[in-house]
Amino acid sequence: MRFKPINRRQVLRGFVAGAAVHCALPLLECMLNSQGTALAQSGAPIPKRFGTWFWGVGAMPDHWRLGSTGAGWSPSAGLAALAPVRDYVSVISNTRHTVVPVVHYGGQAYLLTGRYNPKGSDQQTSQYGAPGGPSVDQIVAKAWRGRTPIDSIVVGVSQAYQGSCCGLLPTQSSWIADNVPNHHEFSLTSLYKQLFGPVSSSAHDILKHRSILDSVGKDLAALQAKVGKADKSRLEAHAQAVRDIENGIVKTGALQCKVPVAPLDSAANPTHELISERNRAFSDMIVMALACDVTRVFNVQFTGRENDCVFWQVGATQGTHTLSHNGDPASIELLNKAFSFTMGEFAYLLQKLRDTPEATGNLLDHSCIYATSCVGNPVSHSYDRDLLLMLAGGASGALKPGIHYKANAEMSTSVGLTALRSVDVKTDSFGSDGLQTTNHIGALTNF
Amino acid sequence: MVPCVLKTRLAAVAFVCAAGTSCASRSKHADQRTAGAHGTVGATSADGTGSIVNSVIGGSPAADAPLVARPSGGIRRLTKLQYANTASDLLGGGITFNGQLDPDVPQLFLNNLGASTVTVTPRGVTLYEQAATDLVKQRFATPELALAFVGCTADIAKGAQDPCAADFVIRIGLKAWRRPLTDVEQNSLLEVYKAVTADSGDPWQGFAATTEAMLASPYFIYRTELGALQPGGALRLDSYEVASRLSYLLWNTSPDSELLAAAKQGRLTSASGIHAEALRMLADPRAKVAIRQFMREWLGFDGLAGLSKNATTFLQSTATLGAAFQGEFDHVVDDLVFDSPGDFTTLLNLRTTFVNSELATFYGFAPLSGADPQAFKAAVLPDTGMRSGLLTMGGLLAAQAKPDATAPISRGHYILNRLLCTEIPAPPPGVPALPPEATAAQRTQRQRLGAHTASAGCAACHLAMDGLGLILEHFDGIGAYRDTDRGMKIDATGVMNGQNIDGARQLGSALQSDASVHGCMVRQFYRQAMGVQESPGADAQIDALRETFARNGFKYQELILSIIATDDFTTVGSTR
Repeated sequence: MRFKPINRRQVLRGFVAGAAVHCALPLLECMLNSQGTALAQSGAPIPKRFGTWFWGVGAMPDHWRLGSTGAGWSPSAGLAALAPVRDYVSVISNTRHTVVPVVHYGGQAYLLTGRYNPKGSDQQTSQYGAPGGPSVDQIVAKAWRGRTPIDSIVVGVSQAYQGSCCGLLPTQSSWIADNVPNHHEFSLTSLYKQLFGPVSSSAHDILKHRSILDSVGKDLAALQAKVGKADKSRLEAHAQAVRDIENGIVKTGALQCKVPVAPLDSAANPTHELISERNRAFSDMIVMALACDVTRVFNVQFTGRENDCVFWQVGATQGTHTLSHNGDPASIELLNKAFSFTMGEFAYLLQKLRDTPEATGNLLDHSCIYATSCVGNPVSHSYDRDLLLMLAGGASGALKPGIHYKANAEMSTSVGLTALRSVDVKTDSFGSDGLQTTNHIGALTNF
Repeated sequence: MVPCVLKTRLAAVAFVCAAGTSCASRSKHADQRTAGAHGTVGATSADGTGSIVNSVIGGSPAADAPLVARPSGGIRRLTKLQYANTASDLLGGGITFNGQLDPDVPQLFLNNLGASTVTVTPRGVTLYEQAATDLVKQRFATPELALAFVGCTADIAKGAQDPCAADFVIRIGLKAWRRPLTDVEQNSLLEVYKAVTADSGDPWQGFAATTEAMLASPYFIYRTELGALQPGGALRLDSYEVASRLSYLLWNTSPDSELLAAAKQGRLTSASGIHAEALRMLADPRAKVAIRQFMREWLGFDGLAGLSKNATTFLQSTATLGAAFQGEFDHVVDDLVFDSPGDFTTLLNLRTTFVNSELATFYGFAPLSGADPQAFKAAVLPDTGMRSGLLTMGGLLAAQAKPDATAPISRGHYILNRLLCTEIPAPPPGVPALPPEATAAQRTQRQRLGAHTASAGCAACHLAMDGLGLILEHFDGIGAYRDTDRGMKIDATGVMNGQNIDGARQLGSALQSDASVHGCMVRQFYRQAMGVQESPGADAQIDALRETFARNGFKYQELILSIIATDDFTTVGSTR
């Protein structure tokens, strides 16, 4: 992807005033103190970034399991693509996951939100239970609300999902609250517009916007007073978003950063997706959005849970979920190749973050990225001791990266808790039912 | 072992167990979900079915998602289609909305149901703001366009007291929010007009901002159905709320000026007044489009244009086949409901269909004559052939299949769920995989799925689903006819209501005469009309409607009218 310089003031929605500070990449440098360890103006530390990276249909444990533990782990066939960034990736294996979820959906919900209600009614299917919420990315986004123009970005790379036709929605990997999914942005151009698009910034426009939002806010308040509890909370979510837009109007910023040239969406072809190209374009935009401090939280759904993405790049003609249940060795081999390919795409994002300097280190040093799937062994839908969980990045020193940690007693949800605490989200516990934990994994942290 | 209990709505049990094993079925009202006065519903079930999964997992702190019961007063987000239509009708001048919004979230397949519970995301709110800005920009692109929309010229000096501005807010506000605005609301919008006009020195900018505020308001984005309390605890919708119910149900857009006038004149407070308006609206072409959209969602033909199949496996696969399948379905539905209204149950066993050039080839008809290959023409399927009715439509068969193979489970699920209104519980926790089979590639779908009978836990649901789906095995993953599966002769036999069935046509015929199917047809439009999933308390009403439906020769428009005529249509939040 090519880059063109753009002034920060063009990036921020409704930028009002403030001296334009011209500094080129590396980003933020001009705003640092003389030691390069904190922001000059406020003395605040370099901001941490948080992300989740989700892929569907797990991975065959025999394919990814690591031989050695501790630092300097030797990549297995499944994780070979992570070799260049190995020292930034901690792999957590052998976690306990004793509650058997309702297959993929429940598994995903437990790992990303910590909660799942099998009796509940999903907004979409009405019958397969409902995830709890919020998911870890939105827990962080809420804790950091208002610090950046956009609280979080939630993107979907693969557009293939089971029955990807005829009235079904793509799956989600982000929830704002119980059973309230965040819809993934599948359009590259639309995300570009959201992050870097031109916004008007004249005082006239701001006044107009304010007037309109005031009027809308009054309507929302009046309507909230007239409806029942459930609708009131639906409207509160709407009102909060309106307030966020209103607050965003006065946010000022003066960085210059480089934004990617607008990418183009290609027509979706579910059996021949340009998944790598899309992933790389999305990753480039995410990295720039983090570098420019447009947002500090992201959520990537590379493939959906139980997805039938066809990895034609490795010779597959069937989707991964289908491959996992065909019951023949050739299908498993393709499934393994698809997983290795998937890790290559994860590695792309990590390398991109690592190669973006920031202060005395790089973006990955200041990030925590929690990567996981919806199931352990996809053939048998196993969870206990079979889940692959990863934490990438240093979280500004809070995490010890690059370790293979083989769990003994720790539950799978302890990884989510470690991720949250590494970016200073104070929480007593994570998970529910038999999967609640109050302990993060101390071997991976410096706190 | 975990019992799998299928939930049927009517006492008549209507599924198949190919191997004759018992599918536990649930008779009427076995799961008493109790509805509170305002739609709070407990998910307890008398026979314990609801707690199967829970007893394994343990209680979850997540609130039971609302199995929304009887209509309750509240807000319903416009679907994307409704938003676009409403904006076009409001702004006029051929303005259309092609932008992005949060996706619709179907519930029980229907966007209208999901709209009653969906929460807009922060990104979604931003998109609404953008949509309002973009739409207004189009409408106010030139002073001429602005004048044509506003209908009068304002004087800056008069500010918010300008009669043109006041009139604009009353007139356009009524159309945008589908009801007269209160004084407070008018003043709030006039504040926008005043502030922006004063700041910009340009009344057109004031009008544009005011319009934007109307479009970004929750009163535009949501339909409010608040009602007024009646003796007995029901909330009766006011005339304007009834008008919107009618127009969004029958037209997928806001009430026209005639319907608004009927509301104003109190003509929508009587059953006869509502009936008269419904009749007028059904005769309008917009009704055909709206009913077609409902049918697409209910019967799984929505978004079919995006159908994609493995082109190596299926040589018939083209970029246009999905759209052609959808066109066939649309034409059949239009014909049966509107153009030559007939017995709607024949949808399941109908030999008249509509094909364009591509479909004529696909179904093996003689090539179509005529200049336009995209034009659809009526065609009669041969009496001796393998196809008749919905179950043999390529679109259904292809959509309920994998990219490179059939999916008997999906097809069986479709029949149980969409045609019989049977609820199928989620797979139990920790579903074991089917046993690995080194020779899987050589086995037929029936042989492969036979493994489901090995486990009692699987069998209870899968015998019913698989058994029905396998009856359609003569049609491959793209909907083409075939005699063999992986070289072996296809066995398309099964049992339906104790009757031996062989193949899709016999199944269609059996379903056509099944009262459970008729009841399900009623139930689906009842849901669409009320905008929520019904509570068990509505079963008696639905059963009565089914009888009326049968008495009227299963005429679909009559069904629509009879559902509109129920008390339920004009009330919300009853305790029934």
